Amino acid sequence: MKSKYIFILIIFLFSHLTFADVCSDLLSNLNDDSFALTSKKIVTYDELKIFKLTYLTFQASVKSENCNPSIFLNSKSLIDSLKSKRIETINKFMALKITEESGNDLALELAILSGKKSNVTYELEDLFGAVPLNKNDKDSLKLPIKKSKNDDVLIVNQDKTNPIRSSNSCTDKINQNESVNLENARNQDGVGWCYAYVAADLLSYRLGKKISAVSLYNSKQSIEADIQHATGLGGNIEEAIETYLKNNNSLCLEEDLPSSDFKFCTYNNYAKFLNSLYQSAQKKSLKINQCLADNINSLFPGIEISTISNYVQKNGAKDLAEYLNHFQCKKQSFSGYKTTPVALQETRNSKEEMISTIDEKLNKSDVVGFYYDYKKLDSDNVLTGSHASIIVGRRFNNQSGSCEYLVRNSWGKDCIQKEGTGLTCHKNCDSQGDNCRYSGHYWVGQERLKNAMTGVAYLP
Amino acid sequence: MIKLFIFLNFFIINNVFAKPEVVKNKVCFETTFKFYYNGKLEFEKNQLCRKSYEDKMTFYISKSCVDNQCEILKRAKKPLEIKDYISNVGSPGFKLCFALDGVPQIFEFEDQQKKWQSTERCIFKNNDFVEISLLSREWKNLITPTN
Repeated sequence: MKSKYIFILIIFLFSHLTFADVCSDLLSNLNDDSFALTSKKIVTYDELKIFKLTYLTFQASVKSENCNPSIFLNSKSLIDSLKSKRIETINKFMALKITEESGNDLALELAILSGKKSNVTYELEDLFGAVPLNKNDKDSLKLPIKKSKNDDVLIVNQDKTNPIRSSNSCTDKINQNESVNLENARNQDGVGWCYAYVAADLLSYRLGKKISAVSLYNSKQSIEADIQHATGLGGNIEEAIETYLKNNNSLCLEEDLPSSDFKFCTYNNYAKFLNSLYQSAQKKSLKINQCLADNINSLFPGIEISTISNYVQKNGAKDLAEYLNHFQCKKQSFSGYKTTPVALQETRNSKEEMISTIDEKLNKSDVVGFYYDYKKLDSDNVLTGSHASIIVGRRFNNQSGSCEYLVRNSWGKDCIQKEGTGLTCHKNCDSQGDNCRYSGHYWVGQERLKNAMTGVAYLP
Repeated sequence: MIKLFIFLNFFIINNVFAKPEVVKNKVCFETTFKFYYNGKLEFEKNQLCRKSYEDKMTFYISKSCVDNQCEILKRAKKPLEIKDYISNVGSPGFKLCFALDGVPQIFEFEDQQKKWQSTERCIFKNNDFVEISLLSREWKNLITPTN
């Protein structure tokens, strides 16, 4: 009988302990959330607004669970620590002559937090209002500085040296349409014509129809010479567009001259196949077999083999690809379309100008091409790896406190980036956030972008 | 009364210490592959399997590669040097596929929601294939680019 009561007592105590854990879990969660903020170098106003909701939920839960009131005392030390961090952040901002953040007057906020000003509406009153400052916090307060006339709001980056735009000007934005979107990154497949893929995407986005990237090839040497060398001359986004429009007064669609999604009968990439075609054509006669015919049809759909044979018999390999491209693009589109692309280069424009231009274009729901040293962007080494891509979006990363840009690459849907601070691959997920797939786009922090970027190009 | 206590506690313990649901990491289905061939749109029926990871990333592989049964997914990973891995010519993923003795290919397939997806795969002996993005994910930190 006695043992039966002991057993009931054990069960009762265990049950009680299990329920009591709810309170300590609440405090533990709050502790985690506040630590996530205080462990950062900067605590932004927007982050605090989000945290305030967490705190209010915590308070309500503590009351409904009838937790021991001492839990509130424990939470106060967390809030104190957060408040100190906020004061520290405001002082950092003001030292950089930043006077406003997310529409909040920093000098006024500092005065409220230091107890010098009351009877003022303060959004974080519920969070900080009832918590007294300790002496050290008060000592660390500095006098507010004169308010800047500049409307552009800046905050410090994590390295505390380079000012960047705040979440105010770094609004979330992804610009896409039926022709250029997060599901159709191109693949330049073995050729070094990244500039042509960017040029094609700029035009495709503007015109709402996919423009052929390879039609815009323009590296000031023949295609034959270009593809023989792994380090071809490369090219220029704006020149590719200008030259093509000047020569043709119209554009060639991707469906007429494909630039990716090639299906070869034996393995080939674009450059390798063209190289082998040139080799065969040099003798002014093509040995046509079914596989060669199939491969030619993959690159130049619908073209008659006799057309190619006739050209080769007459001209050999000379300008063969140019001829075939031209042949494919006979059915031109957007006749009479005119545009003069604009370019900024690091030799005459500052990185800040480039970033401002990118922001301005994104704000106008447009996309921007840019040139960069890929290796500076991905692995911080000093080797050059000239590349061009297109920026299609922007977001503010609350964790790092920095603005990030969404880059659409032309290396397929792969994610080769070594992800880390300021560099993450973009993923397309389903509506439940599952089944995520890489999209061939990646997010890069503003500082990394500035470090690697050498120019921008866009359509006016 | 005791039974009620025991039941309640059993219920609580099971809910507090319940293991997370095991991620279903493979789903195979018969689908249609689509590609341009001879200037015409061609369709091909084939088996395709989905491999999902705990970080919610999903990749597509051949049926022969399910449960890491194919050679490429069983292969021991070691540092890999790839010439011009990142250069102004070509896709790095394609170069990785070559370096692993595979053949890269771009294709489209119809997923289980009947939506067409375009992607790249690396094809190996016996028609084993895995998405190039899966290879990049597993090998990228072992690659040393050389000039």
